[in-house]
Amino acid sequence: MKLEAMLQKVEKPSRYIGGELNTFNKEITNEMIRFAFCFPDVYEVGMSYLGLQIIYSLLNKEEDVFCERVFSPWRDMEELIRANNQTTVTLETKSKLLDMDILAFTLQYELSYTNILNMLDLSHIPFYSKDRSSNHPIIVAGGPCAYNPEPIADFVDVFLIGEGEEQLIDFIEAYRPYKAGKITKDEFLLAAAQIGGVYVPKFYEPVYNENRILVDVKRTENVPEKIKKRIVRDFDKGFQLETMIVPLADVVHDRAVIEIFRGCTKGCRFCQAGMLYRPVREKSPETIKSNIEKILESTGFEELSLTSLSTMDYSSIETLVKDLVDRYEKESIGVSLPSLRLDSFSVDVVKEIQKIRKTGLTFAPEAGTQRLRDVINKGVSAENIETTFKSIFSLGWSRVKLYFMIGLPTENFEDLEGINDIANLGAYIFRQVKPEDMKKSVQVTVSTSCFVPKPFTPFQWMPQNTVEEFYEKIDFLKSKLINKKVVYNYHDPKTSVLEGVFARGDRNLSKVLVKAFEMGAKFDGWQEYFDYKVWMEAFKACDVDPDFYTVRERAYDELFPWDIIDPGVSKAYLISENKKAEQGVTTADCRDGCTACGVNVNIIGGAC
Amino acid sequence: METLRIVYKKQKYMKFLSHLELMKLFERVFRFHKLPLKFSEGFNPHPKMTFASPLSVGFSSQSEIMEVQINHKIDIETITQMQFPEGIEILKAKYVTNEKSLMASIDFSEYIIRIDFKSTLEFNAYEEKVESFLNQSEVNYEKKTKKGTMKTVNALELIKGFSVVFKEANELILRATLASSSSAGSLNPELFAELFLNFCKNEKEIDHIEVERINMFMDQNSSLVSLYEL
Repeated sequence: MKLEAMLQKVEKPSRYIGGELNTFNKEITNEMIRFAFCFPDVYEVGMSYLGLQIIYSLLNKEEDVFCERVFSPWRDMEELIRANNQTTVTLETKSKLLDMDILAFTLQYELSYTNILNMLDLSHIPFYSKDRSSNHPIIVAGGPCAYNPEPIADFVDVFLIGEGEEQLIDFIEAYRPYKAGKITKDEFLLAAAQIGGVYVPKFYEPVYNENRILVDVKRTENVPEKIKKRIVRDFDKGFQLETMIVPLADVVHDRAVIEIFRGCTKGCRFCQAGMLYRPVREKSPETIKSNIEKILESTGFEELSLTSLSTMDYSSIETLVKDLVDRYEKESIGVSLPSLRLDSFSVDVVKEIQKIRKTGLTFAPEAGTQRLRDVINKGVSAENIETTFKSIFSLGWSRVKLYFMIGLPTENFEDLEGINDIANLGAYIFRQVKPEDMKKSVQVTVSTSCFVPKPFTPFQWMPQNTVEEFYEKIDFLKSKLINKKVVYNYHDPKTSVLEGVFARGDRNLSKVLVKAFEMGAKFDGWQEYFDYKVWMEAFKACDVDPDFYTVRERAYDELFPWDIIDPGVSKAYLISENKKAEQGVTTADCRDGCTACGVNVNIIGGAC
Repeated sequence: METLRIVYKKQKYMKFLSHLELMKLFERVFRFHKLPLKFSEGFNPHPKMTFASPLSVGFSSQSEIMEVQINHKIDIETITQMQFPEGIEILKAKYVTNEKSLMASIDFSEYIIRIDFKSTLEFNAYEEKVESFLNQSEVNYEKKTKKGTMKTVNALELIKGFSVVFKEANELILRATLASSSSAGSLNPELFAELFLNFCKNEKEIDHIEVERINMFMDQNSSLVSLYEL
């Protein structure tokens, strides 16, 4: 059965057809470097990812590189592929992955690892690097989860750590002589290992003690001891995203996206992104406006979204938003901000945004009491929360979503009760301040996610709650959140615990991944697919204890699998932040003065 | 305010776009080409567009019709040169003064239905069967109504024209003009093919069916007028 006939039989064929506006279709010559950007989830999720748009645009500017896209086929399509002896193919030219030179997987989420194996399996490519020859594509991985590459280090030839804009170009440059047949695969890998931010796992061998704790990493000569993350120093110059692929299928975030700065200065102790993406680098309003103009002109999007961590921290956010709304109002192009924070919430900005489209409001106090918010260094006060409720409800909003985490270090039941207090406060303030003509009733949605300690955060030493502990807390919240105006949603603890295993995992997990995959695990981030039992059986079959990775408290001097990576932020800083957390002492936003995390010394060179 | 009528092709991979996806694509291409779109009022303004008798996902079409409202006239050439993903192409465009809505104008669609069988056909009498198929008193099938109840429909009342175009090895091509009216009922071409094959006592396994719409008609005093002529 051919692809077309298969497409007649699947639920959402538009996921697989390609041909969107601003995609490429280059002539395939012998010299063309064929690069597949592989997103280990479905089209709708992958196409919402800004990194894909950046890499696609960046690489296709290179004359001798053709970057195509590959997504995970959904269940119905996978069945057809297997039943008809077909393979996963690229969207652009419908080529087999075996015909590509480079397969680059993005690691956005630990629970997508089995999908990587599935994509390789559907393409008849061996999982383990050692089983692949020079006839196979080079397998590359990058993205936030690459900061702990170890759980999938046995499968990946090359990890790219940090920001890709400059690094990918260097990587392609190193690939060219290999493509031309001038050097061997090993010579290429060794050359790649010399590029800043490149980790080639085959040159590094972990050594564990009898308790399976990592004690040493043996490396071959001529490769760096530590892999320092790459960043784009001047975010206002260099590569700018000025066009985007316009999805045809209905995707999760279907709009123009403009990154206004990278990094975050808040220093929330649970947040991995806040540590990994330092230092803060802003784009100038002029560059942002020019990027937006070009993207809208070349795409026809009807909505634009400014994106970054903690967007409201942008130096001139109010003027920027006002300018954009003024500029695009008459064309009915909406402006949205994805991440609003209570502490920097600005009534004026929200007023501007709702001129065109009224979107939902979400806020993340993260913890229920001031004590716990201080522990996690979430700079939100009770007063901030109250002011925010007053502002939004008096402006005529009637629905608000509140995000909290459960299972944070030092959390007790008082902190959980605090979540209920905040929700009730919202409902109460609504009645006090709502506009007189408001007929609608208030709805406060409380969502809790389960805390996962992540590498390179001050909580990287901390134990994670067990599934049972999480459920106990959820049940407690269910019994408390009984106000009719409050809706409670919670994230499944089982997926969070599995995420916790892989977040701080080591190379011993690769066999568990293969086992779980063989037993049917895939799309583990999707509730309808996730099967906890399969995973527990896979751990057992491989004689690996998941608790070793999650609930074990680690000593400050323990060598971590991810210590091979240097994210710029120093271990000494993380330890001091961990100690301050224990004492409930906060650390100020580093826009107000350097907190000596080390990123400027290690990555930029020189003091802050 | 002006109403622009556009005739376009929907072929190749683009036939897999759903109606909603197609609408979004048109909106974006229009915005991309700076068409002076007229928007609906309200919190989520949408351009005012109408698509005649939306096609099922997977059906291709030699010519489809849509209308869009714009604030002022622009060159027709600008419209016909608009860039779409491969498979969609604007064939012609013109300004219309609309007395009747596009949706309500359509009574019949003409389709080419290509049936690929998994094995070679031995039976040769499909052509001869057409007449006896059409001469039955009724060909009933069950259809779910909007209320969710089942209703018996006589397919013959929904067939305006039918012929076997081609038969070779493992392929059979039908051409049929079937009702596709939003008010007076419609007959799905795949279902139609199935009814005919059942009548022919076909036992060969079907690999897949491809459907292409080739025309749309309005019933004017019992004679069919192609909508593209209007």
